[in-house]
Amino acid sequence: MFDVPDDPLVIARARKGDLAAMETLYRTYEEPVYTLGRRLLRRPEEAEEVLQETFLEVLKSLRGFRGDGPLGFWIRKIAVNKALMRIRARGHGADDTEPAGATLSEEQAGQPSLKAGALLERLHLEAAFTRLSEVARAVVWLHDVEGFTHDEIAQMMKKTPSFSKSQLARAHARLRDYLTGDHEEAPCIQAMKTS
Amino acid sequence: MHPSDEDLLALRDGEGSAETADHVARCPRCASEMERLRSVAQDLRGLPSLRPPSDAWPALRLALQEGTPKSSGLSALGAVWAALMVLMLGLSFVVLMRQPALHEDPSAAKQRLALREKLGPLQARSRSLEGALAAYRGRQGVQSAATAGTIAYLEDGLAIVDLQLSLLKADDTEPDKLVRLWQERVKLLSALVEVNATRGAMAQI
Repeated sequence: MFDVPDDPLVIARARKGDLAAMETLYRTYEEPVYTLGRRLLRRPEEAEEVLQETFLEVLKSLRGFRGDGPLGFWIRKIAVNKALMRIRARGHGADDTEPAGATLSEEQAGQPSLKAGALLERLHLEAAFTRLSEVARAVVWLHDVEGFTHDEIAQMMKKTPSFSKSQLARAHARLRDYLTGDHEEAPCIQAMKTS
Repeated sequence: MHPSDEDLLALRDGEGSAETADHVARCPRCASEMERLRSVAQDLRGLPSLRPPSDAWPALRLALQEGTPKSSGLSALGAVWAALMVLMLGLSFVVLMRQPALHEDPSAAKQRLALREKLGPLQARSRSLEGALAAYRGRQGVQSAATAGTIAYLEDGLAIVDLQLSLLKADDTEPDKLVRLWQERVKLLSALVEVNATRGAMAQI
């Protein structure tokens, strides 16, 4: 989602303060940044705040972007740090694993026409993922989806690579339990199965 | 003895030991678990991207233009944005309410009065609709993609109108444009309230 080819002209114009160019950059990356925030953080409002904070920093410090890598990856790094700062502030020890009974979010409910089986599987996965603690979600998403290494995750979370590895393993064990039915199923999933 | 989840994940990521790889090659149970771990990662990557519920660009643009210090978040920026709008609208209202100066052209004074009479009810209606909308927004609920799309469309329109209104200076002599924008604002808010009311009614069926 973040690997959009850079447009050097747009970046140059945005660096000079051109608002139209800045908006182009914002429109290009608003969805990836918001999605990242939603996957890592439990509260949607916080994902919106991360979106806002990320772009304020990106657009104000664009002159500092050296262009060593794609702009999208630089933006992603800033967004990840913003989200992780919130998780760190809450403390790693807190077990915020969602209890069974979570309902579908509006995004989950509003997804268009997937075939019933595929939709059910996807909802199942989303529901299971949502039930993980924020730390576990962050590690799984950053490693399995965004492709960060354990060393990079450890650095961003101010932890050790072993911490990242064990969190990933524990999160997958939990996901396995949730997905194989070795848990109390969320009512929304039960309702879909019986309908 | 079967390898641990951590060992299997390391193997999945190309960092596993030869011993684990050898075991997985011979053990159907671990091979199946490896496949499941790959599949979960792949399915997570396949989850759809999510669109922010509201357009944050107008607030962001304002913050960038004004060099506002880093905000604590969208809600805070939204509040700043709303406060600025209220201030600007208030200023224009004060200007419109002021008694005409002695040297003022009587026809200009009449125009001000006419504008005030047109804007007053629209602004009152707008406030009332926003109150109704705030009540709906407080309720969590499930909505269809079509409804979400309609709401997003209307909210985008509202953000554009608000931006235009905020850019109209208090001393601008564009009364027709001002009235048109307020009419548009009321229309969009009415539609938003209607969509939310329908959604609420559907949820109760």
